[in-house]
Amino acid sequence: MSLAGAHILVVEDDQRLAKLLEQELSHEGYRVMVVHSGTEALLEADSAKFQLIVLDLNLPDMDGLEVAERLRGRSDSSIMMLTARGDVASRVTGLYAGASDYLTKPFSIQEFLARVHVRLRETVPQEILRHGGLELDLKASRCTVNGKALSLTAREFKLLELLLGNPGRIFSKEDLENRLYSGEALPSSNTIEVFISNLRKKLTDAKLVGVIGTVRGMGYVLR
Amino acid sequence: MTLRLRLSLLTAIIVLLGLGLFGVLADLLFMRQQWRQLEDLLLLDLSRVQTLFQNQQIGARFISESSTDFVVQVVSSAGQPVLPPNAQAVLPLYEQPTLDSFEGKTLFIAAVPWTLASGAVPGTIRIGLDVSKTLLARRSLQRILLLTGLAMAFLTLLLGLLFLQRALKPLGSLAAQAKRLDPAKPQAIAYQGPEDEVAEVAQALSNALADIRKRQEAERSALAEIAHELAGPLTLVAGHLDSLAAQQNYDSRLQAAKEAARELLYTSQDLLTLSRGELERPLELEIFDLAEVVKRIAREYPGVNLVLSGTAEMAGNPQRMAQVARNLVRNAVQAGGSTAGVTLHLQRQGEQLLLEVSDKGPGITAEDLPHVFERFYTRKTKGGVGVGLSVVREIVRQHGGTVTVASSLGRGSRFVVSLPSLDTQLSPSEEMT
Repeated sequence: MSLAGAHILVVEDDQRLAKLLEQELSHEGYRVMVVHSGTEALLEADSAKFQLIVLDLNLPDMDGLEVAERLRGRSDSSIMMLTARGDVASRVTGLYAGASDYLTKPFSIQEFLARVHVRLRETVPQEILRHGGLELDLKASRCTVNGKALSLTAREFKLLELLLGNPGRIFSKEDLENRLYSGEALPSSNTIEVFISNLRKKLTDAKLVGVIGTVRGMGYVLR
Repeated sequence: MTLRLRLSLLTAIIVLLGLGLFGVLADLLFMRQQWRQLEDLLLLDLSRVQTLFQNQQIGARFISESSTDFVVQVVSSAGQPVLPPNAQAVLPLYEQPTLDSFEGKTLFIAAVPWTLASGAVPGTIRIGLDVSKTLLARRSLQRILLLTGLAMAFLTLLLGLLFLQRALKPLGSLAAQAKRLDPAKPQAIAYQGPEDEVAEVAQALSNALADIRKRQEAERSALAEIAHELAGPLTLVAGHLDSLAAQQNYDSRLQAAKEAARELLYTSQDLLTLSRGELERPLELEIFDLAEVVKRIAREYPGVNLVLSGTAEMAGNPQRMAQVARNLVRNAVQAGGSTAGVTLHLQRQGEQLLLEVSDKGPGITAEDLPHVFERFYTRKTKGGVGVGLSVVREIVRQHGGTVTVASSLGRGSRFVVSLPSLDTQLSPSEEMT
């Protein structure tokens, strides 16, 4: 699918900013639809398919986070949040990592367009993630190494999906705790370390070395 | 001198003075008592000897046999010793008992007239009482008093030091905490100790700090509010100017307006970064090539001399590092007045990535140099208001790196950011720390 011509929904109550974004996005060759409220956004998302929804978090009728949550339930569009509050932004990415991005105001149009471009390129729906001899079939939830099936737990599969879906991204321990255990009380403080170590062993046994790298003091990353 | 030592010494000196006064009084009273007794004894002896002489009951034998600590002499009116006849020296004549030295000894001397039965008075009877022992006793008393006094004072000093150490502990901890206070982030004071003046000081300090914190908080949110208010319109202005300038790139006025709007946009981004406290929160991290970021920033400032040597992979947040590079370049451009003379140089040096930004501006004075990274520091000479560079320092610190500056007046400044390269951060083992 070509990026130009991608369908983008802009949800922004500041009409002047909405107009600027519409103009700039159209100029880049995207098809743009603009709405000014959360309700309209949900209606539009139901009736048409958008590759990307640019969503302001400060909407008159409902909280942008809530809109995002509902949108996630009914479409697989990628979401880019616009926010003036940095703290909210980090919570957002905590909730929908990989499939959403955020931009804090003020931003330059170049930056905005660059991020939109990256988002669209990355979120071309992928059913199979590959890295070296490792293959993850997301639809069938199957993992193979050099063609041979490798049995993984649901959490292990999710971790590899995170790593392969976000090459270069470093996931901190806390990050993984939230994503893999979503708020459950962890059995011990080194649960993630043990978990990673077990998964590494499984991969090594399958003759696959160095998929999960460690960045000292920061977290884990695809290598 | 510490407060503890000072107080202990003061107490010791007071004890010493008190004991000294007591000693002097004791000595005086003791001597008065002793003299009175000795005087009585002397006078009694004199009258006895006088009576005995009158009654012719004693003579030369008695006087020769008188003991060593008791000298009796009968002296003629002419001052010649009569008894004992072989006396070497004559006791001086004192009617009232008086201390005097005689033949190397200290004697208490007095005299009465030598009256014969006929009533004639041919001379005087003189008696000297040896008081060396009394004086010795006094001296040892004095010595004992002095030694006791000194010992007591010394003991007071030691005990004072010991007890004051405990008593002054809360004060010491208060001082240590006050010394550690970071003016940018004043932490609350923890006080443990009795409810006394020190507690009052601690309380007052805590209140003042709480006020400062509250005010900082208020200023920060006011700043965030202002920056936020500016953000919306600025995005619009910069955005529209951008597209207009792209359409009519021959119009230099539009280009200038576009660049000014962009600068404003970045400044307000920095202000928001500072005021939102974003630098205290953990970053979203990824592995990226710093060279790509630096290239992008150099493109934003045509005319900047870019020197790269290969890729420069690191772990961190690329948006934040872009802010670092941009702020340094903006600072250099501001210093020199244009992009000419500004060099952006990225290289690997061992395990470090070095990002150098140098300008040929007027340089920074020695007075300003140590403060350029401080938040809201306003330079005496040309320069910003301490937003961009303080953001640089915070972001670099978050990435485990350092930023330094060297400058020479009239020749320019050079900022060097040193960051750990990816190789040093990738753990060969699987340890996180």
